[in-house]
Amino acid sequence: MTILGTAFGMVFYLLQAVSGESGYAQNGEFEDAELDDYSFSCYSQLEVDGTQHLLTCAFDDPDVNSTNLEFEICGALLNVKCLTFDKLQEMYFIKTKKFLLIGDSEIHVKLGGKNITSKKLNIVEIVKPEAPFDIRVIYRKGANDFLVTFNTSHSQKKYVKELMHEVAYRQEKNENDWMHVNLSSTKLTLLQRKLQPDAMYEIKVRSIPNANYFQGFWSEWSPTFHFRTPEITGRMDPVLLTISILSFFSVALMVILACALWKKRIKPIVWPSLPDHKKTLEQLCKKPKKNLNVSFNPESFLDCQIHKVDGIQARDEAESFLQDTSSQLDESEKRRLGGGMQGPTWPSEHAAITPKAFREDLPFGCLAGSISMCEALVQSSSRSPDCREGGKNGPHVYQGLLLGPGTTNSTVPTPSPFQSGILTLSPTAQGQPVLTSLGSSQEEAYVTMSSFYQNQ
Amino acid sequence: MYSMHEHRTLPDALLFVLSVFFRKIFILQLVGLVLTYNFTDCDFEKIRKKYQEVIYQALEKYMNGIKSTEFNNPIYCEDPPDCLTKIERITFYPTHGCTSLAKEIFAIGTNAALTLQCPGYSGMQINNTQAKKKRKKREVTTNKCRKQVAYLIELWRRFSRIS
Repeated sequence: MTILGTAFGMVFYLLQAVSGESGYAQNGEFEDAELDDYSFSCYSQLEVDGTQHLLTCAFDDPDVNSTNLEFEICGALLNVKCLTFDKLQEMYFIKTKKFLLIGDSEIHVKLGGKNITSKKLNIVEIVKPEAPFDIRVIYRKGANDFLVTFNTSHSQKKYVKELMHEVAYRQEKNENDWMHVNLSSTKLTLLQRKLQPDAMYEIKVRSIPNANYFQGFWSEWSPTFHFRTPEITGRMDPVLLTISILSFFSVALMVILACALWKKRIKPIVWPSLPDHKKTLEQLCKKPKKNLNVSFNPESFLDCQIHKVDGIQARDEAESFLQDTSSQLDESEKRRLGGGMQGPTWPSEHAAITPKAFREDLPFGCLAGSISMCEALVQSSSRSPDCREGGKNGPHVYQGLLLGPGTTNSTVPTPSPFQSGILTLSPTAQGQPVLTSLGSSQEEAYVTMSSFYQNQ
Repeated sequence: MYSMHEHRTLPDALLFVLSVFFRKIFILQLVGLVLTYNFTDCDFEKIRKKYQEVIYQALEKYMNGIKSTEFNNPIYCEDPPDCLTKIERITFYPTHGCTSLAKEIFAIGTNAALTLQCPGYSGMQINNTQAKKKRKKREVTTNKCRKQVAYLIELWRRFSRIS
């Protein structure tokens, strides 16, 4: 009986113990009651108070009953084996200089001296820096940007000197639209063109160890700073804008003109080519006159009788020519006065033609002051279709020069481009300009000029 | 007669025990000197980081503003293992005029660094209890100790340059 009673008692005891451990509920249902979750996390802050470091731990589950629970750290300490945490509300912390900062430590959670849970960690790998402070934003008008500066207490510390900072900014009306910038220095430049004008912005910054030897977590955010971007009151000074536009168009116009007129106008002035005397003469003396044939092509003068002039023979012919010419001039003058026909006009002024000018600068001489000569030449050449007629009725042209009556009795010099003297056109009493030779004469053929005066 | 014999055997026995004891101590010290740790297999990079971030601060704090160059320090090490051998000897083995370096913060840090990064290194057993007591009547930091620490600083600098 005794043995039986003992056996039954033991069975009941066992049942009670088992049911108690398995969480037997009063409603009769068997449930597995969860063990209290004593998982915890810690972070360290080095040199937070002078040379003293701070280690803070807390349970991950805020509902844990932390009454009578203790935290203890052992290992990697200076001159001591273990240290006990202090408790403040639900947080456990320890402030000490005795962290060796080399090697791992163990943190034990104890209840009544009994070890409940432990965790191995390295204090240099759970560093949480202090939050930055004194954040400022300065607008730089000249650079069109904003200079962001802030301060951190870690710049004065011996450990954890190298940090990585994160700056976050947003427009106040755009919630959750933060822009993030990472930097290792304490200065940042924000370009004005990347921000909205006349808008209110807020900015904040936080830090984390630079992961060289010390590692850990982000610090708390710094206090937020607010700033307003300026309005854009005219992107540019209007006067300056106008001047810029005008200058641009002027330069563009000049470039276009330069390209267009380079070959025709600019290059000849800048880099004048040696003129072809024949072509130049043609162009200068070319007049839009009818029946004008200005050409050095002998075929144009097939109708004209061109005689090669022999030196001595030329003298004799000139004398006879002069005689004929003077008589024909009288007749034509009479005819003209009677018919009211106007002959070719001759300039009333003198036109001095130097042989040199005639030789080299004939076109320019013509242009400059001897337009009359050109006209005479043109007129003489225009008479070329009438060469035959001129040859019949009109005066023979002696080397293209009409000699006036004043020269009939004198030896007529043969003007040529190589004369050293000066040929002038001077009006006579009849209004007929006469070419006179003022310098020495040379006998030289000049067969390309056609008659420039035609008797009408 | 018997008592006289007893008196003669007692000092002889004592002498015998002591001689054996001292002989063993002597042999052990000799062995210790000969069989020094070979630092060839250490992780020099990690040791260098621990020196730069932690041990250096402690050495500077010990010197208390006195520059190591004020002491003429003609000390040199050829390679990282040689540097660590010399660092260990100067740090943990007392010299005449300076016996307390092993209990300083930089010595504890050096010991921890070598223990962690050198496989097979057992480290120096520094008696913390005795350290506490001795700190009460701690010897004043002598010039001799500063000179030793100046040697250490030079050796560590050389080590961090070549490792």
